[in-house]
Amino acid sequence: MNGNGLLPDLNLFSPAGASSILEMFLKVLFISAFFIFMVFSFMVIRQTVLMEKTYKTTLGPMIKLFAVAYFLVSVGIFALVIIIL
Amino acid sequence: MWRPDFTLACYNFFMSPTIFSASDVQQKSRQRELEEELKKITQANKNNGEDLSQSAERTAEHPTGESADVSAQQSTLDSEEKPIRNPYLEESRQEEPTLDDNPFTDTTEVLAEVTPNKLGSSVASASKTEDSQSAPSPEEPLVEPIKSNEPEDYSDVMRNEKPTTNPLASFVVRPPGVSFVNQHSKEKILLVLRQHPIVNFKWVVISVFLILAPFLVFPLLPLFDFLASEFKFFTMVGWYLLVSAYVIEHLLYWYYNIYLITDERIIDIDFISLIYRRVSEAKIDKIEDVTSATTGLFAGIFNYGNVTIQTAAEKREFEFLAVPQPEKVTRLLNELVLEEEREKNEGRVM
Repeated sequence: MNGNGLLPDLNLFSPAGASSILEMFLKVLFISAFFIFMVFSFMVIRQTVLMEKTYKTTLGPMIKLFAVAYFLVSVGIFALVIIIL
Repeated sequence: MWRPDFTLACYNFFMSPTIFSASDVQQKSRQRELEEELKKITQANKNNGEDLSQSAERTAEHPTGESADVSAQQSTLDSEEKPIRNPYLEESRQEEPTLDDNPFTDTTEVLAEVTPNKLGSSVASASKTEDSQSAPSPEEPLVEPIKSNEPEDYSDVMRNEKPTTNPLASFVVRPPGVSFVNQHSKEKILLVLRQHPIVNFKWVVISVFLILAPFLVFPLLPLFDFLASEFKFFTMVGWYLLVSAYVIEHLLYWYYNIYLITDERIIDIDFISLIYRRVSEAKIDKIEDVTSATTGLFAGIFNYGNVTIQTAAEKREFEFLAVPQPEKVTRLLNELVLEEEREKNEGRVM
């Protein structure tokens, strides 16, 4: 039994004990998730630009700036995931 | 022409207690003098007219001699119409030749010019007041020009509400620096509506819970114990990115899902999700029915509700959801519809 007593001593999901296939599967899963998130943040930029054209307000440039910053953060994290994992 | 009811008009205006104050006694006496002068001028006019008719008769009886002089005098008088002109009536006659059948206005205008300072101003104001009730003032053209009214002229809501500068407000009156796609050059945005901020309460609470969840809930779950530290780190990062996405989408949904009321049309901009946008509009004259409904405890407390607008446009029904002060929105729309009908009737449609 492991420390939590929930799983048997097999402990397949521990990085140390898991097989390389499972580890690779997790890496691909994380990279895909962050890539999808990067696409989502890009959609935020596109949509805010579109809405700013539809309805122009004094707060619009600030929202656009925030969307761009959000996209850059997601790109940075995606790069970090690729580097570290 | 001299009007016989001039004295009566003077009496009505200058003896009225609403016009005179105690300090105007001297002005009253001056007025009486003025009336006497005018009577004399009238009498002189009449006498002169009689003299001319008598001399004409004499000329007819004696065609030689002085007849040339008399006929010349007669022709001169005819061309001038009046040998003795009333200086007080001269200006008013030049300014308002078409109001002959309204001596009331005419004479008071003249006297307002003649009598200086307080009396003049009081007479002028009295003249304006009575003109507005009985006849158009001399300065106003007889035919009203084609023009469009300002929203403040016909709308109580616009008159009572001050322009809102807060870009995050949900009931924005005549917002400065705001425009929308396909806005006409003279089209004015009267009202920008969003859902009441209280409707954000639900997702804000959920977001707070999701932010605190890694600290409150995840330690109780043993699943993360099987992950390596770098995987744990990116799981946490991914979690907060998901929470941020949830917050951003709801925030943008609330901010950009707006309803516009202009002086020409209503516009519904739907921001359903990050990949869906819909803009619907209907002209004010297509509005058939406006209904507002406030239902629920929170709606009653915070004064928000739904406004349903039935139209004859392509989109049959517009629904402004959870907008603040729905009764004001309904009243404004009714005022706009009435004004639109009035514009059509008066031929002021641009």
